[in-house]
Amino acid sequence: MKDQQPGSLLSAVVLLAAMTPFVAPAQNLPPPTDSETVLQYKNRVAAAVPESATRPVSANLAEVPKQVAAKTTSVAAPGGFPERVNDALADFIPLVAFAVNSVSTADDKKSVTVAFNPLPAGTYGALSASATVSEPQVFEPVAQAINQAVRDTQVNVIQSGIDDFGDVTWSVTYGYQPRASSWEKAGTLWGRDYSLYANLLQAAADRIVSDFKGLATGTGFNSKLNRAFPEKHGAIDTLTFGEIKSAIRDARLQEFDFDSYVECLRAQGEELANLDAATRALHFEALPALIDNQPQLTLTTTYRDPNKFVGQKTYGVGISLETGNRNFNTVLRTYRLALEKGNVAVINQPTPVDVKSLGKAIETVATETKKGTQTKFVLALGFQHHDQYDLDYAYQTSATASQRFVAAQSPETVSLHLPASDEWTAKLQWSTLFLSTTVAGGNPRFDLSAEYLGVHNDPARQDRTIGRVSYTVPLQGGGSIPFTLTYANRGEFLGQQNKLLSAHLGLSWKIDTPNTKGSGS
Amino acid sequence: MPFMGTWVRESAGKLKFVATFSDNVLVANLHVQDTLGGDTVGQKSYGQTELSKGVSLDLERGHYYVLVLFVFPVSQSHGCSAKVVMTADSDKLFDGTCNATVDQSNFIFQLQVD
Repeated sequence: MKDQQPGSLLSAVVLLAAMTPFVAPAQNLPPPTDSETVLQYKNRVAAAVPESATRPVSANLAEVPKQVAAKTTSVAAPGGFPERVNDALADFIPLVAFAVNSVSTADDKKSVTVAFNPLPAGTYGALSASATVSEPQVFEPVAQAINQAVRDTQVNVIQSGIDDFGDVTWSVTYGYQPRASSWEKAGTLWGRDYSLYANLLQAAADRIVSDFKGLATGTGFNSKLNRAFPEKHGAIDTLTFGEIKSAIRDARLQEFDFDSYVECLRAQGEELANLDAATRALHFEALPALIDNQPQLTLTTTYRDPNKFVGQKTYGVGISLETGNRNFNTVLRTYRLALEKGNVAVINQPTPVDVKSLGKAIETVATETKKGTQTKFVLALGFQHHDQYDLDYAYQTSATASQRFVAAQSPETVSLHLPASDEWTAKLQWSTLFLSTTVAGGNPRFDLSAEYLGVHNDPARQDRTIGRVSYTVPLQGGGSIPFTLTYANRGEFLGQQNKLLSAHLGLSWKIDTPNTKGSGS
Repeated sequence: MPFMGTWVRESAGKLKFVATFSDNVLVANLHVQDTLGGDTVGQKSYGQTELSKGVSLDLERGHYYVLVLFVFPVSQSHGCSAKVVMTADSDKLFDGTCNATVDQSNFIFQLQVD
């Protein structure tokens, strides 16, 4: 390869250093010691570069929600039911591993969900399927139909005959997820799957590196070191400066200016530190929280086909809309506004990402915690149809010794026939955090929720409507005072109240100690 | 932003770069810059999927390559990692783990071909 002259290399280094926009050079860095390796010195230079104003925005809104951090794709191994199901799945999943996205156990350990890889469905969406294996429980009407004297025993007998896969619910969800081809063309985006935004994020990362001018400054030195130290097999970063000096003294290294080499390494370290600073200026660390606030529109169908003792076949369909006001779309709007203010004609034509404006937009949206409101909205509508249920089950009332007071060998039969039934559900939730108002170091919060359940042909249940409005004022020390107004169409849904409307003034607090976390009201 | 090392190769050949990513990776990207005599003569970017399968680069004599691996975690508190194997003509140059946090998400590899 063609070696470059150290003089011209040094000029290039100085020029590159002068062009660096983000961080100042590391001044007064002690020279390398004889025992220090080249790699150690490079890392020392990088670490010595002063921190710029591109520190992460981790303190406030950018803090990633705990549920995101808790996401797992590994199989949990708790005791009991989920452990048995996971063991069984572990034998089966390798056969379909290409299709399985994740296996997760519910917090209450009563169900295990297998999620399959999403499939694209047209230009604007994706289909994702899952199977939830719930711990089978004997259908309550069946249990109630058994003679009370032997009910517990018979329920246990029935329960022992149901295998762990006796209550499986299959679901297929369509998510509206239009993909954006570029930052400039992205309109309002939907969906909370990070992969939907990966191409945009990678375009920004690409732009940063393409702005990086490279490190050709070290080529001449590296070639000479490689020839002088063939025993290193190319790994010249493992050389110590003592070895290099010794090689110069022994004339093993010729035409090698040690001081210029050290200066070159220092300039390289600074240039790479600039690259690092440019990356951090994008504030990618704030994006997960913003993506988790993106609008999400899903249509879900479910099918449950349980063991005959567990319940009715059920078919369901539901639609859900969720959104938050500080999200990735806000970043897109802020970014485009910045470009338009800068008279950058980018709309409808792909142009390189303006990383400075983008980083500023992300930082602005993620850190504006003292302005306006932070709102979340959920609307869900659902319909379920339960098939007709017929069960005839014969048992003996003297089945076990514990029932010695019951007449021996008395045959009884459960004959249960439930008609097909339907249910409609609707749920609305709205919460607003008033960021511009501060009380006791916190922000007041407004919550509105409404829930409706309409049943048809199900004598065991009744229609239900509950509405709740709440305004919560924070207190010092993590406590709060919630003012709540609740409406219900039936008194039993108001707890101890027997009126249709109740008001509640409470006090709630959180207790955080090194070993316990709790709350009460 | 740690340096993962500079290597000098004596001959042209193939470089293979394979990465295995942990959970909690928001975005991963390898950007390869190809320079000759101080001028950039080529650049290419590889996404997470390509890196998981492995990318192969043709190393040319006289060229200098800067590989920048970006790995951004979903969770600041948990971070993420990329287990990287970089091999040039059956000679393993790097076999290690790059742990990404908010403060440290870029990893630099440099390769020169004499």
